[in-house]
Amino acid sequence: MHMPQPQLEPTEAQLIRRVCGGEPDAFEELVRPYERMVYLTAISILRNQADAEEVAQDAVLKAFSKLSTFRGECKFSTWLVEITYNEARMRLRKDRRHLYESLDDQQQDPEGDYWPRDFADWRPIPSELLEDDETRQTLQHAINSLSPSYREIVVLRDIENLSIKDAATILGLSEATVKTRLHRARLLLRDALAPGLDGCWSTGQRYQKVRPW
Amino acid sequence: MLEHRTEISESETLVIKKDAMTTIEISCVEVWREVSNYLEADISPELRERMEAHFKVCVHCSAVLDGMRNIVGLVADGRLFQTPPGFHKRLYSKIRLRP
Repeated sequence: MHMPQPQLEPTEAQLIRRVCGGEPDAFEELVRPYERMVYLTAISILRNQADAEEVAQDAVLKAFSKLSTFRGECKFSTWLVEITYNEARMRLRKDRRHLYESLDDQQQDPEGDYWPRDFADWRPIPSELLEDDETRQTLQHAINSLSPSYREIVVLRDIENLSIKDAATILGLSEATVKTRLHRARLLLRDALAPGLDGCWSTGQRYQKVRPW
Repeated sequence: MLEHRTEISESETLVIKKDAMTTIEISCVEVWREVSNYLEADISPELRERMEAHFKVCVHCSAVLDGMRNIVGLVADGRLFQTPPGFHKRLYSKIRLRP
């Protein structure tokens, strides 16, 4: 007989039982490992700290209220991020400022081939550079400049480290579409941050140091 | 040989002689299409072998791969995006305020 694979870590399952059994304080312990995921999901869609915080608060309240309906069909973290994602999208729909962005988004053709704009050789970038404000801001700016459908997938897969399958569930897309968008987003980021975009190799000049690395 | 970085076209296919019996062919455009799946280890062993052979001889595709690998590594680093100070405390405020 086929038995369903348990999706929950035992401690999470215990915490969920405790919350549903009348111990609301256990909820913070349950959500704590995923607080950053909740915030990043919200800010990747809303791009505004105040809105992202409010949506994050609404999302955990909703998760708390609906916890007894959680059946463990997916991981708790996926369920929580999905709630956050839907809350953020609802907020966005109410906010007309983003209409222009969605139009812009539709003009992209993720199915067509993407040609890298730059073939400059990349030296490995040491991760210690992330201690540097300028490096962090440069990377953050590049991610924030992506259109929403690309930014969301980069946040879910590359920043929050969700699987392609979980990201597809949250976004309501096929895994194939998620892979295509992820691929395009990574190429766009690479181009945005490529050292050769100074144009020096085409003009025969030496690289100017415009990136922090 | 690709003379200039901007002049790669789909028709310029790199041919690699694997041995006397086999020729593996893959174009730069095909490599770019799969480079993200390559990093995800989400390609067939046969395609992986062809791409690895291509990277050994094509500086342009190696640059695309190295750049993407760099970006994916940096973006995954927890220091890049952090929650604002006091976020943890505020996050549960609406739960605490519920009737």
